[in-house]
Amino acid sequence: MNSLPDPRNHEEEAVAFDVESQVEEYLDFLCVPLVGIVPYKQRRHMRLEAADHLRSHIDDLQAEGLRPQAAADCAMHEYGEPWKVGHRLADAYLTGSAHQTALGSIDAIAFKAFGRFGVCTVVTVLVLEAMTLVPLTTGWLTPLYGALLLLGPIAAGILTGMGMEPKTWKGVCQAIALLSLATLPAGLLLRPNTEALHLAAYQLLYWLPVGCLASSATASLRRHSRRQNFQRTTR
Amino acid sequence: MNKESDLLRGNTPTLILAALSNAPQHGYAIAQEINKRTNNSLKFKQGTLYPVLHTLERNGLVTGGWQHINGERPRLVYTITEAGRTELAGRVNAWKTFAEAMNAAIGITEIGVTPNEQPA
Repeated sequence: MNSLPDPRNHEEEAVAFDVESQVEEYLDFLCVPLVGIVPYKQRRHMRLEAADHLRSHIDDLQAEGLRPQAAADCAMHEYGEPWKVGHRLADAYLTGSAHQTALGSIDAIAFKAFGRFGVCTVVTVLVLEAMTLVPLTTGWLTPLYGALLLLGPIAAGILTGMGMEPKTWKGVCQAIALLSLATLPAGLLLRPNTEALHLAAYQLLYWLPVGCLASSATASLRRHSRRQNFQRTTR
Repeated sequence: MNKESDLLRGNTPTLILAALSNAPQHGYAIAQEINKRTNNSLKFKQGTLYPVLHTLERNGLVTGGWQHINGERPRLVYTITEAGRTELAGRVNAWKTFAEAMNAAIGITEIGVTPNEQPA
């Protein structure tokens, strides 16, 4: 006759499964700030390294007599808040991957910001050109031009901040400074036509602070939301 | 942010290099070694060691290699390089000079009462 399975074994398996899923979730949150910054292969190595650390620590704490759940909680607590560690890893990666150029050290985030604010600049210039070359379109293009000037940096800033990279504002500053290096001389060359000069002035006086604010606020809000989510799921 | 973590932040590379100076180790073992050497007196989050380790690796002061042993988890083991040993020696000297200067400045006999401040 087959003996009935011991219910204590099921209980132990359930605890082990819970601990394992919590460790995996912890590692997910640790890796969130790395997505989009650190390439997959390196990110995977970072995850494996953190997983090995946590599991070794849990094993040691269990050997000292702690229950699996308590050992896992202690190991994760001593490792640090996952999003903070993730951001530090991303920061260390970005610092190392800063591109050396004639202008000095430009952060990797600046290249992303440059793409977003660059698209915004190109669309604005195209609308401006259309208004100048085809006077008939001025009537309906003027509000679009105004909207691009006012809302473009907010949209570009939000898109840049979505990646939650550390120091997004710094990247936005560098990107807009680079873009101004193109629009300002163009504005000076196109005088007495002053539209390009106006665009350059808008970029430096309005896009720069608004873009920095929008990107930093978006990054902070997303980090806050992730943190809340993590605290809810681990409670 | 407490005072200890402020002091610790700039010295984490020194702690890691010192922990690696005897033998190659993986991240968890480095954290254990630091705790053992300092008698658990330094309170730090162990995860913060890894960004520093990665920076040291990129700067050529340590090298990392995956170790695959049958039946065990794969582990990234770090080894100090010659440049790392030179850097450690420089950091140790700088720390000694700094510690001596600080001890001389703040007085090591009794906190809060230096000979000049004693009432007549």
